[in-house]
Amino acid sequence: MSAFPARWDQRGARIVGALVLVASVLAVAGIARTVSLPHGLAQPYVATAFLVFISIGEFIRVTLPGDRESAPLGLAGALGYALLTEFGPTTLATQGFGQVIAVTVTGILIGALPHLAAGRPPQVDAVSRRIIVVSAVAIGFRATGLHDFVASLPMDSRWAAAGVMVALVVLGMALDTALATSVVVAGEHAPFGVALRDEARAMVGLGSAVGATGVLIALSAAIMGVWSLPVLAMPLFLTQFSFRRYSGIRQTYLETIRSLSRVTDVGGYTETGHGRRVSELSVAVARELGMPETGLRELEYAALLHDIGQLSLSEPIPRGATLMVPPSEQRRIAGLGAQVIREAGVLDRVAEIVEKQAEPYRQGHTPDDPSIPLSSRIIRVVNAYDDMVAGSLEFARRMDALEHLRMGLAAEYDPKVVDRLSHVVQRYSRMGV
Amino acid sequence: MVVALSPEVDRLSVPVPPAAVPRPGAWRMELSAAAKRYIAAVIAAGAVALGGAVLAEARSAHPWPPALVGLVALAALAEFIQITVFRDKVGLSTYSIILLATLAILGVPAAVLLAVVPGLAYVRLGPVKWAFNTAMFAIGAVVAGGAYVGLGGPVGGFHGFSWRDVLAFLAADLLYMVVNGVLVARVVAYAEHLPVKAVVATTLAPTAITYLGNGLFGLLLAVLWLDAGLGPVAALLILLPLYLAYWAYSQFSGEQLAHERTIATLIQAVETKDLYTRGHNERVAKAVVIIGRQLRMPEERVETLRYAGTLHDVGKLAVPTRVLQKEGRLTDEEFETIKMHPLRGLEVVRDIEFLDEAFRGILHHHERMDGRGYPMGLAGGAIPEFARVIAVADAFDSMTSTRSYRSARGVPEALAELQECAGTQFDPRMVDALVAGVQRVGWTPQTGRPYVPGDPAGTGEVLYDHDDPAYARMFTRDLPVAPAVPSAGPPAEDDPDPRVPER
Repeated sequence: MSAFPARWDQRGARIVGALVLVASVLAVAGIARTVSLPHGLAQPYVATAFLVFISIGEFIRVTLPGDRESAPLGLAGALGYALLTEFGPTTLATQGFGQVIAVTVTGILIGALPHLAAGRPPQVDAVSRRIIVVSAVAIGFRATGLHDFVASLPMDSRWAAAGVMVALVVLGMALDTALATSVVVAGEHAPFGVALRDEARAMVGLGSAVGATGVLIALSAAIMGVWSLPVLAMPLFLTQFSFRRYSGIRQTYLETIRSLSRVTDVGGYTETGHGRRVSELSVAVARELGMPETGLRELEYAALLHDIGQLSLSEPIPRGATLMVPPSEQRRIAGLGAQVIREAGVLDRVAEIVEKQAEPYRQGHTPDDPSIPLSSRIIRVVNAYDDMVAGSLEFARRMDALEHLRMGLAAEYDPKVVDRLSHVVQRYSRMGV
Repeated sequence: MVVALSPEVDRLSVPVPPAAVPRPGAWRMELSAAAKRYIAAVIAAGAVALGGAVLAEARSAHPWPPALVGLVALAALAEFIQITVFRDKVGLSTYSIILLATLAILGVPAAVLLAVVPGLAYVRLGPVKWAFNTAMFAIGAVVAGGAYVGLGGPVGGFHGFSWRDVLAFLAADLLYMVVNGVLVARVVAYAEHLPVKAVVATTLAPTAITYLGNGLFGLLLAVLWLDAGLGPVAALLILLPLYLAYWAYSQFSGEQLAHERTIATLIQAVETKDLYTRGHNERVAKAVVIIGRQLRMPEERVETLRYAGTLHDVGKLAVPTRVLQKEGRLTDEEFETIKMHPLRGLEVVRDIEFLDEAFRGILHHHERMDGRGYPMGLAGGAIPEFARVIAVADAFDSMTSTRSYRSARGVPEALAELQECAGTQFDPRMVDALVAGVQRVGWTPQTGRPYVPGDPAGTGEVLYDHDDPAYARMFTRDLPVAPAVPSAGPPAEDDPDPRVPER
């Protein structure tokens, strides 16, 4: 789903609505098709095995870095069922694509139930995408001649079967990436190219492992039967587990920095919530300016910690507004902050961003100083804005602040950052936040 | 890339990596004659194994099968994209999985020949290390292969499931790990003058189970390769998730390290405000770990406790500098602001979810067993366990550190003082644990001169440390004001003690 939690407007809600609609139509059609068949369920034993597997996989869903919800095991099981040709040495898998969709949707619902009961609903767009992708692969494999072609291959040409399946899964994952991108673009006003690259990068990780496992389940079920499910789940389970921990520590890291950035509030150096507001607004502005995800993360850290240098001051600046102190002092505080952050040895780029926040985007007669990172320019602008507005919802005050920033365009503030900030602020004001 | 995990890694109590293959690496020191003989013997044995494997392969019914090329290529790929964690200290590679699968797919000679591949990674370390490592991999393959075939493990196809095959494979898995591990441990022991047992305990033992489990993926690979008729495709599809698991693991451990460092650094930044407690938080963190381990708390809780120790005073930032730096006695009002610091600390960290139990430790670390502490005045068992631990560690570090109004007390003296206050101020259980723990692992107090504020904010002398039991006593009403601080330094002897309140 969205790479960074942001405040969404109508555009985002519309695209998610469209995804849910498509997924629902597919689900209803699949179930209707299955129950309307004269023979009823094909191979109920096989269907049940996959249903159980998909439910469990959905139940142990994970949230990946960038707040992307995923159910690797459930999706791999569903893909395996979509691509299944034989189940054990003697059973041909005869389920139609409708049955695949029906089993997948049922499994997802069962797996989501405990979470729903506990008040943790799944991300609806992520669930919809899973249903759409499985449906697409199932239809592509079972409603075309591909299934019959693969089933007719002799044992020594299994690699060709694998090739066909891998190709289909890759297409499915590409579709998933495109859908995820459209959600981010609509919800966060990110440029399409950047969002696509971010989503594709995220997909190549766990997505490829999911696809590989789905294909292997389908291929190995021919000899291992029902055992192929638990056995092949093991490597993917390990992967999922590692990713969960990775994403967990990243979340913790962010929480820690968010919390510890409040020390300047508690110490009376800054207005309450200043760091948090600057970081949220900075990320929203950077998103619109097309900053990739890796950069956003550094920006967020830097924005949270941008006032940490004030800890070294013996007397707090009134209201913590660095806007009000002379440039030389601003630079000194930024330098002290960068020094603190550099001390950690792991946040050098964040330190650089903090250091350069006190620099104007251009010097004297040069049009633009390329040594000032975009992140520093953004923090400089948003910090000044928040020093003036201080989280107020009052529209006039916000517009005054933006006007004040525009007066500084000539030397202080990067015009394209101010332009985007004004866009974001107006968007938020319309939404009442 | 030496196998030995650094103390740093131990300190972080990083969970065991999924497939930490002990990597023999650069031994730096001069080796003794015995070590040289040992290395020569290993290299000779390896050469015999490799030579034998070449002969056996050449004379087999179907020598040099194309599958061997595929497996060698896979092994090379596995080594090439090997993932290192902890700055090269542990290598994560799928090589051993491929090797074990090779045993079942092509047999022992092919598996031994595969040893050439990972050995190549050591060429840049010089001919001796290259030869030693190649030999080591070859010997491991011979022993593991011997066990597999000897126990009736089939080569070239499983033809149905049998527990015997699984057992044979497990034996090969186990022996490969043990042989490799011991051969490396021996050389590390020589180079670093440690007993072999100690090296094995720190390198091989912690990862043994996960390593064994990973080896079983070799069996899965062999089944898919042979019986499912997938060949190398199986390898690519099965190794992909594993590779990604290692990748995510290495990212995880990197982030974890970064997280640790960031917390430590930000806390240091907070300390700059309070002039003389430099390093205090870190030492309290060490002391609470000593107590936690002594009480045999589970490692996870000790970890949380350590965070609580590090962060316990973060709220002191809310105390105005003029109060922290005030000379002479504080007014009640000023002391009220100091009493607020645990609350303000909680305010800072309350959203850090994993701290959980640490919250209560931070909030109540100035409560006293007799109920006269702050901020809530809890007594006895009502005080959360973490808070009781931190209270003792906090006072201990304060007493063993030099303050401008008194010199540092010796460790035994400070411990005696804690024992005296046990029951009224401190939980005797925690005090006993600290006493026993310090006896066991020792304690390095803050050393050197008192921290004289030649600091960014430095304007005044600091007279009081709120963690000093004697100081705390001044503000605890209805307490007999004992001359509780055995005066270690001259000031209290000669001058009228400034800490004794007038009332």
